This record gives sequence, C-alpha cells and structure tokens, in this order.
Amino acid sequence: MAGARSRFLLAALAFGYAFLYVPIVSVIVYSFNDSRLVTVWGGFSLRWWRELARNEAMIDAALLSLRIALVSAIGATILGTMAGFALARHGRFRGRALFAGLVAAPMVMPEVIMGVSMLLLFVGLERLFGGPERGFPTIVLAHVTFAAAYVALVVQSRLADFDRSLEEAAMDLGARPATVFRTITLPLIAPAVISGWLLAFTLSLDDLILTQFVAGPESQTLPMAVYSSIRMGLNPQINVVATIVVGLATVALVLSSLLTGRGTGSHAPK
Amino acid sequence: MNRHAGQSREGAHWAVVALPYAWLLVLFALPFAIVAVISFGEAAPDRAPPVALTGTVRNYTFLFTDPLYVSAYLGSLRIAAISTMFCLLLGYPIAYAIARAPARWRPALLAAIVLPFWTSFLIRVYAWKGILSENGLLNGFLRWSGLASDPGTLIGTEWAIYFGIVYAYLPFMVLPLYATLEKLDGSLLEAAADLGATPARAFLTVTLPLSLPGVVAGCLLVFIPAVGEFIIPDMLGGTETLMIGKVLWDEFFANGDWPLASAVATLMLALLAVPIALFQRLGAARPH
Amino acid sequence: MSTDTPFLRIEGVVRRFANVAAVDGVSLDVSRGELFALLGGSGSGKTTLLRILAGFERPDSGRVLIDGEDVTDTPPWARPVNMMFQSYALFPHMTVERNIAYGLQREGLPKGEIASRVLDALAMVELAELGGRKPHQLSGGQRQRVALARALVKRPKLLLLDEPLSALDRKLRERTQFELMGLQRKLGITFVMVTHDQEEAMTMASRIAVMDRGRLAQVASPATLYGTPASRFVADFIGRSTIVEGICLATSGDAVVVRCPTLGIDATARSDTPPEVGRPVWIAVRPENVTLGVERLATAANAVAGVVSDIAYLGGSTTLHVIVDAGATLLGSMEGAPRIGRGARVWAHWPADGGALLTK
Repeated sequence: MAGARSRFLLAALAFGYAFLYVPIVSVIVYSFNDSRLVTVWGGFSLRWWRELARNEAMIDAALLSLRIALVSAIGATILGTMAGFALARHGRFRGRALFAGLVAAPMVMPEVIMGVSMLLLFVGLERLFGGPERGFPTIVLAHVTFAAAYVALVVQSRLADFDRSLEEAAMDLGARPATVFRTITLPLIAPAVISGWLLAFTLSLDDLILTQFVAGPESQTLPMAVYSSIRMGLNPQINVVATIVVGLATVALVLSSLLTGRGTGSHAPK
Repeated sequence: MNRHAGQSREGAHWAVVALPYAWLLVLFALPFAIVAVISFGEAAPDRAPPVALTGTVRNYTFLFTDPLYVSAYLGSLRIAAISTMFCLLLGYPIAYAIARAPARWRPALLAAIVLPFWTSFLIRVYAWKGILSENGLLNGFLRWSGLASDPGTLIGTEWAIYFGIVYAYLPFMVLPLYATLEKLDGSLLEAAADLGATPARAFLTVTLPLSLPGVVAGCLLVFIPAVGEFIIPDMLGGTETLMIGKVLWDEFFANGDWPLASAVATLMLALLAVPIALFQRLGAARPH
Repeated sequence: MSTDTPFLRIEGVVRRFANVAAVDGVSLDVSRGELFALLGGSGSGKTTLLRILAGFERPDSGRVLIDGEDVTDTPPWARPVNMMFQSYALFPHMTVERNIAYGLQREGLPKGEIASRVLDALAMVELAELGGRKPHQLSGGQRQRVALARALVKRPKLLLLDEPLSALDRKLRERTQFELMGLQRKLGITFVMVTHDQEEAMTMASRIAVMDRGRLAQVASPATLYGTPASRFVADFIGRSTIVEGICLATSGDAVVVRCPTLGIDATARSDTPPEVGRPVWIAVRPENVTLGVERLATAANAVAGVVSDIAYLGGSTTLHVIVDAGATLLGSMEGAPRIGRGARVWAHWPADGGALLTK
C-alpha cells in the first residue's frame, strides 16, 4: 500500500468521524453547562437536568412518544416482516413491481409530502366514517406505514441469504409448514426482526414532520415539544433531552448490531 | 433452482402479500390520489375541512407564475444537488477507507457511521444551530486559531443548510458506497497494477466504474429527501433561502391553504418522479 | 435385475418449469435394498427427480409409489423418505444432538426413546462426543455425518442423497464412499443418490440411471453401462471412448461390418441385435481396447495406421491420441510410461468385441 494513500484515507476517516461526532459531543457537554447561554461554558452543573425533571410538559410529551413508538414499532414489525417475506419469497405475482415500489418509497419520499397526503386521508376518513380520531391512532398509523419500509428492508435482506434447504430439511424430517416456521424460519430471522423493531421504535420516537401533520391539536409528542422549544431559541434543557436520546440510541444500536452480528456468525458456516 | 412445492399453503402465502399490499395502497398510495384531487380545489376558510373542490387549475398556474414558488422549487433542486455533491465528496473517501480497513474493524467503523442516524434528526440539526451561531464552536475555533479574526455568522445562510444536509444524510451516502466497495475484489486492482496501471489510473478505470451503482444509490438517497427537506432550512436557513418543503409547511400551517399546499406537494412529487423511479429500479436490481 | 416387486416405482413422471420439461416422462423401478444412482450433468433433471421423490416438487403428470403405496400427493413431512441435502442443511441454531432429535420430536416419540436413538445415531457415525456442538464448529466431514445421522435416525424406507460427497475433498470423498456403502449394506435401507460424478456412481451404485435432458438415457449396472452403452450419449458420458460414424455393410450372426470413412476401413464389431444393412451406425471404442504398435498385427480384427499427436501420461497408464490417416482421432492407451514419441507412425488395433455398436 502506498503510504500517501493510506495517510489520505486515515485523514478522511478522522475528518469524517470528527464531523459526525463533534456536534453530538458538544450537545452532550453543554447539557452539563451551568450557563443559560448554550454557547458559553459556565462550569459543570446538573442544573438543566434538574430543570428538565420538573418540566412536566416535556415529560408528558416524552411519555406519549414512548407509547406511540412502542405500539407503532410492533405494528411496523408485523407489517414490515410480512412485506419482507412477500418480496423475498414470492418470486412473481401480479403487481409485484408496484408492491416493491410501495414498500421502498417511504424511505426516500420527502416527509412533508407524506405528511400532507396522510393528513388529507385522515380528514377524508373522518368525514366518511367519523374516525379515526386525530391524535394517538392517526400518529400510530402514519408511523407504522413509514417505519414498515425499513423493517421490510432488514427482513428481506436477511431472507435473501436464508438457505431454503433448511426449511425443506425440516419438512423432510416430518415438520408441517407451521412447525417449520416456528422452529426453523422464525428463530433464524429473529435477529433481523428484532433489529427491525428497534429501528422502527427509534424512527417513531424521532419523527417530527409526519406527526405534526397528522396529530390533532391535543397531542404533543417529544419531537414536537423539542421543536417548539427550539423555535423559542436555544435552550439548555434540549441538550439534556438530546443527551438522553443519544444514550438510548447507542444502546439500541449496540443491541441491534450484537443481534445481527451473532445471527450471521452462526448462520453460514463456510 | 427449483421453485418450492406449494402444498395447500396458498392461503397463508396469499395473506403475506395481500395484507401489506392493502395497507400500503390505502395508507400510502391512496393519499397521493387525494392530494392530487384536492390540488384542483380552492381554499374555503369557513369550511371544515377548508377545501372547496372546484376543479380549477388556478393553483398550478399560480405556482408556475409566482416568482416566489418558482425560485423555491429551483432553490430546492439546487441546494439538494450541491449538498448531494458535497456528501459524495466527503462520503466516498470514508466508505473507501472503511472498505479497505482490516475486516475486524469494519463493523465498528460502520456502526459509528450509522449511530448518528439512530439518534434524533431534530437534535442533530439543533446541534448545528449551536455550532454555527455567532458565538458558536466554529467561530470560536476560527478566532482561536487565528484563521479569521472577525468571522461572519453562518447561521441563516445557504452554507448552514449545506452543513446540515451533508451532516444529516452522510450515513445514507456512505452505506451504499461501502456496500459496493466492500464487494470489490482486491485481485482486480492487482490485475490492473499487473497490467501496468498506476494506482490512480486503477482507481479511475476499475474501482470507480465498479462502484458506480453505489454512487447512484447514495446520491438518490440523499438528493430525493433533501429536495423536500423542512427541518434543516427551517432551523438553519434564513428568511431569504426558500426551500419548497418549508414553503409547503408554511402554506399549510400558517396560511391554511390546503389546496395550494396540495398542488405544491403534487408538483414536488412530479419533479421527484424520475429520481424515485430510478431508485426503485436500482433497488429491484440490487443483488443481496 | 431383481425378480421381486419393485420397492420404488416411478411411472411416467413429467415436471415442467415454465414450459421446459425438467423431467420428461421418466419411468423407473428400484428394488428393495438397492443403492441406486441418478447420474447426469447439470440440467439433466436428476435433482428435480430426486426432489419429486422427496415431495418438494409435484409431478405435472405421472405417479410415484413407495412400497406399493402411491405417495404422489403425499406432502414431504408425511413420506417414509428422508433426504441428505447437498448443503447438508444442518440447522445452524441447534446443536448436533438437537439436529438429530428434530425428526424424532416431530413423530411425538417419548423423550427417553428420542435420547437413546440420538445416542445410537451419533455412535453409528462415530460422533458420540460431539453431540453438544453447533454445526459451524464441525469440519466438513463431520457435518456430512451429522446430516446422514439426522436422516437415518428416522429409519426411513428410502434414503435420498443429493450429491452426498460433493462438498468433501478428494481423499475424504474416497473414504466416505466406502463407509456409505458399508452402512447401506448393514442397514439394508434403499438408497437413491444423485451425482454428476460418474466415478462416484460407478464405485457405489448397484445400478445407475443415466439422465439426459429430462429423460433416461440408460438404466443398467455399472459394468453394462461401460461395456455396452446404449447410445452415443452414454458412451461419451461414461468413461472415455472414440466414437466414429459408419454405415452397416453386412451382418453375420452377431458380427457386423461397418464402413467407416473417417477410419478408412470396414470395421468389424459385435452386437446382440445387429442393425439392418445400410443403416447409419456408430462404433464406440474404449482406449484400453486399442493396442498400439509400430508393426501391424496380422491377427487383429481391426487395424488402422496413423500418427501420434498427443500423449497424456497418467501414472499407471498412458493415453495416446492417434490421428488416423483417414481423418479420425483415435484414443489408445498403453500401460506404464509412454514408449512412443509424438509424431511417430503407429498402427492401432482392436478386436471385434472391443468396440460397441450403437444405433443412436
């Protein structure tokens, strides 16, 4: 390897990771700042942590977000796993191209477009059927729809390297299809399903735009509360929220990569 | 090689396709149709919902003639394209370096790229608001290092938006690039070298063409959502920087003009139809 | 071959994929206790036929009977048949013991019986001390044994083996061939194996079905396949031979005289079913039946002159390519190292029963 080239690559890596992490680290550091100004260091203090603990609006918003994330992650996992199976296992069916498009589109579709269109759908449904009520149910429906795309991607790629002869072997040994699914397929794709769930949970917890459109006037989720607080100006309490979120995300990612890592380790013996 | 024997399991098989299909048709496809229909209506503030379906094309003629909207569309496309280019310039060396790193380090290096994606988007943008502000980290660094004694403030400029987009979407660029670069057979470069190519020439003639699918996928994954971005221009951009996502948001929430907002969305979708179709084709062709 | 009623009967089985017949009207009987091989190249339909026996594919038409019972519509989990997969298909999330116990658990056997049968199966394949390992902790040979034990522990009436040795290296493959044969003799279970390796089929099988494009080209014992191939395809597929075209000039008893333009002679061959005079026929000559010499042997039934063009020394013997003056290239062999150089003029001779007469 040429020395100049590896030095350049090393520099690219160092710069890239600095670029990614300096902002996050600075947010975390300033959550322990004593000063009211988020740009001036006034000494270490837990003042803003204490203040956040007393901020009931923010805590209520966080609890609502957690409830929404929990429910939508379950829904997205079920729907996304089914879609992943449909794409990986059903070679050809009528309308497959459209289906594949519908599954993948939420990943790139600008959220403002999805937000407007889903709100109009819910408004229409409300006029026609008197429901669902705008708030928790509509937020969950919206989150399930867009997070399912990510779950489908994860599950589909896991199924793509799944050795079908394992299922045939189980059948050959006397297992009926339902038993094959329970004893072979599910245990082997479980890591992908769980990491899909974690991803859906994080996406739901974080979503602002879709939520803002489909939430009724009553519901305020954590991102909505954070957003309106930021609009008022920089606020050290937001740094505390950010620190907590980063901590949770790190745990979720580590869990998820441990799961998928272990899964592949025992999967394909070469 | 042989398809699986379908043994009286058609019912379950059918449901696996039908349920998500129906769900996506109702909750994802149908709403676009509604948006398209409503975009031919007029605002009726005294009604609930505030829409009168009059079948007019006024919203569209307005969008095409009003300088504000035209420049918002053009501005969005320009900003998204420039940000995508910066993202590629920064992301390619990173992806290349990870792909060439010792195999045991790669998962950790990759996880470190993905981690910010798992943390809140809003908070990551918020972080830049602090860094780019008048007395923020960046200006502090510039003053301390003596690079600039009186740096202006970046917040509220188009540059702040570039920073935000590149930062927020970098993982989407790096991951597909890494996926193609990692698969690249090292012996191809050795063969190129053996046939007399310098490292630079080998990169240009072997590595780069073979990683092109990753480049295209990464660029689309950044460009498409960036065009409709709302949070970044809202929090980092200034009043003179118009992006269509923010215009739509304001039209909807501040002005309450649902039909015009629908027309803005429909036109945005039409603009993005080609890149989205390209992305779908790529996804369908992608070998796992 | 055998006089008792066939244990496995395949009747007119057809299986199409998108209008291409992978299996195109195969009928076949296999006796109880046979080690039967389906031999063919890729795309010959051998694997599809095996999967039809296992129940993974349903024939578009035709029937499969095992021990007198029609199993055509029986799903794989209800068939008295087990399969050893080419990839072994060991469940990666289960230990060796649990892999082997899996099929017994599906039968709902009592725990104690499962445990003792698993132990017996492990002992049978000499893996008694590895029961607690996961598949990825085993060597290729050990994995093959686990797959075998997992299929045999079910005491199937019929064991199917899909390329059972293809994942093993050459040395291990040769040893395992004999182990499999010994096990088959000891257990008396009928084996049907699929292979693309003709040596493997010749070594192991009591009978071989050679498949070509979905059809059976010939079903016979290894010796018959080699000595009297039924067609040019079989003669070419099994072992090495020179195949030359000709026209039947005359017959007398089992002797047939064939005019071969590319050999430049009227060759003599033998056939139990002599063809009509005037028909186009082919003669397939095995290299080991061709004697080479500088002088012409007066006693030989067939002799042609030519030039040695290539020499391949194989250790125990040498194969020589002789370009006959009339144009054909004839393979001949001699024991030990080559004693003739390239470019040498030689005579090639073979007896009347040294060439197989083929009519298709």
